[in-house]
Amino acid sequence: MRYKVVALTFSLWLALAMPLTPKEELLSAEGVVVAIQRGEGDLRLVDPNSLGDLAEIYMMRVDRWSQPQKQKYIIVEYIHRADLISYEQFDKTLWKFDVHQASPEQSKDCLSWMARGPSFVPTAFGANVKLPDPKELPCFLMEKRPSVVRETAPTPTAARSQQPAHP
Amino acid sequence: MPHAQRNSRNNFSAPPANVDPTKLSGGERALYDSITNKDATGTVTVVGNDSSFDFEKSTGKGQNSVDRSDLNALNRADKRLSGEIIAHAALESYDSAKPGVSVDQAHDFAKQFFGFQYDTFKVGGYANGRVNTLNLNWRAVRLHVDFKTTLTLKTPIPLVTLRGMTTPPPRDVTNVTILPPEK
Repeated sequence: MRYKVVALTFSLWLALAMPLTPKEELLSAEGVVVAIQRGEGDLRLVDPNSLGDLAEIYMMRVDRWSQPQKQKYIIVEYIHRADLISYEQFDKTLWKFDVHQASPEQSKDCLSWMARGPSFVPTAFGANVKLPDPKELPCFLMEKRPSVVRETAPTPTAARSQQPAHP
Repeated sequence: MPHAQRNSRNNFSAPPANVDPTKLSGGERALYDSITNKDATGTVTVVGNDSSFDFEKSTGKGQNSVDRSDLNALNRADKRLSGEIIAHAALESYDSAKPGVSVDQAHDFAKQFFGFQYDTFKVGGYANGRVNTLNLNWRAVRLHVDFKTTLTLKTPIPLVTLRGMTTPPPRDVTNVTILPPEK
C-alpha cells in the first residue's frame, strides 16, 4: 500500500512538476530588440525558394513573458524565408515574439552563428543602455515572423531605468 | 541511408529489398518513404547550371531542381553535403506533391531532417568598380558543418544597386570552403 502511495505521488509529481522540453514549449515574449548582429557591409537578401533559411541574431529585452521566466535579456535566432523586417522598424516597435528555448545542441549552433558573425549594433532602444554580454545570454529560436504590438519610441529616462544590473 | 538506383529511363527506383526501414533514423526513414511510398510522386530535375538559385530550389508543387555545377563546387569541399541537398530536394518534392501540402509546408518538413541555413551576404570582390563576387556562409544543420561559398555574379553590379535589392542577383557557386568549427 505504502509503495502504491509513493508510486502515485511520484507519478503526480512527474505529471505536474516536470516542465515540457524546450522544443515543445512555445513562449510568447513581448518587448523590444535592443541590438542586432550586423556588419557594416552586409547585404540582407532573401531568396524565398532557397534551399536554406536566413538566420538572423537579435538581442531582445523582454518586458512581458507569457509564462513566468527570469530572463530580461535574451538572444533570438530568427530562422526564416519571410520578407525582411527593416532595421529602422526595430528602432520604433514593441514586438511579440513566439519563441522556444534552444536545446543544448541548438544553443551551440546559435553561439556558433554569433561567433562567426559581426558584433552587435544597438538599436534606438539599446543605444543608451549598457547591454549585457551576448555570450552570457540564453538563446531562443523563432521561426514565425514576430507581430507588432505597437509602435513606440524609446525615451532616455526609460532607457536609463532599464539598465541591467551587471558588472 | 537507402540506396536509390537509376533505372533504364534514368529515374530513381526503389531501394534494395534488404533495407530494414524500422532500423532507419528519422531523416533516413523520411527519405526511404519518399522513395518507396506510392501516394505521391515528386520529381527532382538535375540542371547543368542555373544562375537563379544556389544548389537547389523548389520550382513548384512536386518539383525541385538541383544545380549540377553548384554541387560540383560543393563536392570538391565535402562530398557529404551534396547528399544532404539531394535528400532535402527529394523530401520537399515528394511532400509537396501531396494534395493539400504547400511548398512552404514541404520545405518545413524537409528541413526538420536535412535543413540548411545561411547568414547575410558579404561583398567578395570588385571588378571595374562593380561588385563581381559575393560571399555567403551556410550551415548544414544535421551535419553541423559550416561552409563558405563564393558566388560569382553573372553581371557585375554597382554596390549601390545591390544595396537596393531584396533578393540575390543571378550568380553561380564557384568555390566552397569548409569552415572550422567555432570553439
